[in-house]
This record gives sequence, structure tokens and C-alpha cells, in this order.
Amino acid sequence: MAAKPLLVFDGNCQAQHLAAMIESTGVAETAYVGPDWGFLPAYQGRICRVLRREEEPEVFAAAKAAGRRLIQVSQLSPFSKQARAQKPIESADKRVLFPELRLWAISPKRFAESFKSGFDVKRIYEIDLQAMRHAQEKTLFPVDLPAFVEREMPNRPLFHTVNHPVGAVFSRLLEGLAVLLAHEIDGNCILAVAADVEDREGLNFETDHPVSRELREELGFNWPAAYAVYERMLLAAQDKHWDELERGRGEFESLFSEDTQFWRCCALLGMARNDSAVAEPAFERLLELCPGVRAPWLLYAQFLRADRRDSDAAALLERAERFFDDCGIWHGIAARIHLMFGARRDAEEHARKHWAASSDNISSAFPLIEVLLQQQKGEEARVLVASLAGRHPIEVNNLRRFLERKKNATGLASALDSQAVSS
Amino acid sequence: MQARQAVLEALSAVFPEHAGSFGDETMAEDVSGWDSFSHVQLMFEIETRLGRKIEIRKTYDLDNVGALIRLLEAEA
Repeated sequence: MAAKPLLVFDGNCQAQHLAAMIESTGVAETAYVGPDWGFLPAYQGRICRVLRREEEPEVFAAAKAAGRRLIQVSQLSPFSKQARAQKPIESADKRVLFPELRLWAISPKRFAESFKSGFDVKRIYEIDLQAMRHAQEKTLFPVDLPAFVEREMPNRPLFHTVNHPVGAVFSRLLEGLAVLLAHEIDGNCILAVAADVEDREGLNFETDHPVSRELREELGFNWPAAYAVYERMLLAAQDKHWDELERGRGEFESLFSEDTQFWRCCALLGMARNDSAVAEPAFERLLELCPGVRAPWLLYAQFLRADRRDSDAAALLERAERFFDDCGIWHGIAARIHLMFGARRDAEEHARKHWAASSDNISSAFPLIEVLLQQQKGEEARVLVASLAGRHPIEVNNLRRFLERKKNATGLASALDSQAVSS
Repeated sequence: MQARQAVLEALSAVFPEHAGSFGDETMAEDVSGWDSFSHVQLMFEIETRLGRKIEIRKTYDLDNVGALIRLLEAEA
């Protein structure tokens, strides 16, 4: 029997999610190489393996030495001719490509936050489809994803955020990969996962929903009646209308019991009411659905802290450590939880490890900046902030918003400005 | 507005930290922050100035700013 191939994925969180899903089939081992996006999507409670840059050559060489095929599975953005594209792996036996999918049109607010100009949402949607079409053509992907999005989007939401699709989109991606990998692994195993995720939520730990009625009408989207209930649930949580959330909980559960956002609403309701019977099952479900995301861990810890259950919080921290297995994200979670409990020295140690492991993601610096400020190490914080001024404008804006939220960070945003001017 | 003026103005609006440094030979990888996200914004800015839609699919694989200007001049 031939050794399992090693499939090395690159791209964004869509690639990470596909890696986790294909790993679950057992017909191939998967790994992810590339930037740290600050979270890891899970499938059936498991996240993909992330290779650190320094361990990549060793892992690839070991696979080859064991007689395994090394397949690079690369996500191409429409812009991937440019520098940000992942380089080919020299020792790979084969490289297959799949397109990156983005849909700015469902979140004009986010678009406006990122970009300054005025815009026409219909034009954004046209551009979204053009960009998808271009990536599709460059990859020669066997399933026509832009056609699927264009056909289905008027009937049902296919994206939770700009680049977080629902399960049906991942199902199409898996069908295409099954074709591309047909000579490498048993495609039926991939198709079984494709069938499983068809009606699942995909990447849903963040959401840009609800999409307003006006926007849906403008774009010609006529989504199912349940969307009005979903909208009501999300708005009740967003506006902290806990009575309304409580009253509707049975109806919401009957429709959205497999939906991360439903459990997030329950967790928030339980926190607001300090009700363990509501909060804890919700946290546990969130940790099944999206364990690679820091928010459920942090909210759970926050709830336990408010309930003065320090030993339970410590157990939660240990559980996170076991789950993440020294992944950079773990250090970020540990830093934040230690900060929450006032353990500044432990927080600093983890924050430094987090930043060292994940410095390609600017938000990984946030716990370190915070702990430095709390430890009266303002000059080091200022130097760190100034060193980040040349990053991508979207990242710098995130940093600026973070600093503006911190009362003790007065002056640090100006360090960012003065550095930007001098550079 | 002419394509050249529209492109140079739009580039300065989207990437103000590089304003004044754009030329025909400038490539996306020379400009920090010029990626698939900001490319969409750049195209919006150019469309606004030209008062017409651009075939954006054709713009993704261009070599440099000069090629973008030539494409827009040819489309006019």
C-alpha cells in the first residue's frame, strides 16, 4: 500500500479549512504553510497542522525520504502574480491550484472601513464576480465557482464575511480538489466530506450579517424567510436586548442549532445574566465548532473570572494549551487570559512568544503592547509601535484602533504617526 | 480626464505615503499595501475620475503602472 501523500496547503483561512477537512478523511496528511491569520478554522473539532518556516524543509525532506508524494495545494488570489503569492515548493511532485473567493458586496460597511472612497454596492458585486472569474481562469479549477456564486447568491447567503464562505462553497471547492487530486488519493473520501459540509455553516466564527433589507433589495437577493429570524437574533445580541434573545431562544435554536452565531448569542446571554446553565453549554459548543479561534476561550475565561472560579479558569487554560500544542495562537490566548487575571509576568512571557511566533500578523503584537504598558515599559511599547508603522495600511488602521481603545496608550498612536511621516 | 492623470491621482489617493513617486515603471510590489484589497479601491478611484467602468479582470496581471495607463487609453 502506497504511503499517504503530504498535501501542503497555502493561502488564507479557506486553505486552512480545506486542509483540516481533507486531513479528516485519513487518506492524506495535510499541513499549512503561510501567514498566521490569528486563528485556525476547524473541521469536526480539529485544526490543520501549521508548519513554521524553519521546519518546512525538514518536514518536506522527511516525507520524500519516506517515499511519500508531496503535493502543493495553492490558493491563488486574482492578484497572485504579485509578490504576496506563495512560492512553489521545489521538492513538490505536483502543484494544484484553487481560487481565492471574496465577496465585498455583503459588507459595504467593512469595505468603507478599509477603503476611503465612496462606492456603489452593485459595482462592488460586479467587481467581486470579475475577481472570482479571473482567479477561476488562472487556476483552471474544474468546478465553476463564480458561476455557482452568481447563481446561488440571490437565493441564499453564501458568505458570512468578505472571505468566509458557507459550507456549500467549501463543498464545491472539495469537489474540484477531488478531481485535481484524483491520481493521488481516493476522491470518494473527499466527496464524502463535500457532502457532509454541503449544508453546514463553513467559516462562521465572525459575521458581517445581518445584511440590511435595503442592501439585499439593491443586489437582488431574495433570501429565505428564516433570514429575518437570523437578523432578529443577531440584532438582539448586538443591541444587548437580552429579554428578546431569551424569548426567541427556542425559535432560534430550532433553526440555527448548528450555527456558531447562535451559540455565541447564547454565550453572551448567559454572561449578561451570569447564568451558567445558559453560558457553559454555549461555550462548550463554541469550543467544538471553532476551537481554533481565541474569542470563545477568552469569553469563557472572562465568564469564569466574573464568577470567581479561578481554578476552572486555570483548567480552561490547560485545556487550551493541550489543544493548540505550542501553536503561536495559544501563546496569544494565554497572554490575554493571564492579563485578565492580573498575572502580568506570565502574560509578558506568553505575549513575547506570541509576537516572536506570529510577527507577520500585526494583531499578535497587541497583547505585548498591552502588557508592556501595564508593566510600565512604555518606551519598549513605543519602539514596538513605531516599528510597525510601515505595515500594510489596513493593519496599521487596526493597530491605531487598538491603541485608541487603550486609556493607558496615550501618545503611542502619535509614535505611529511620527514614524509614518519620517519614513 | 485623461487616463494618465486619473491613474496618477488615484494612486496618490490610495497610497498617500508614496504620493509623487509613481511612474510608468512602478510595479505593485514596489508599493507597500498594493494588494488585491487595495487594487479594488484603486480601480474605484480611477473609475470615479474617468467617469466610466474599467474591465477590472484585465488589470490584475499588468506589469506596471505604464501598462495600466496604456490599457485604459486603449479602452477609451
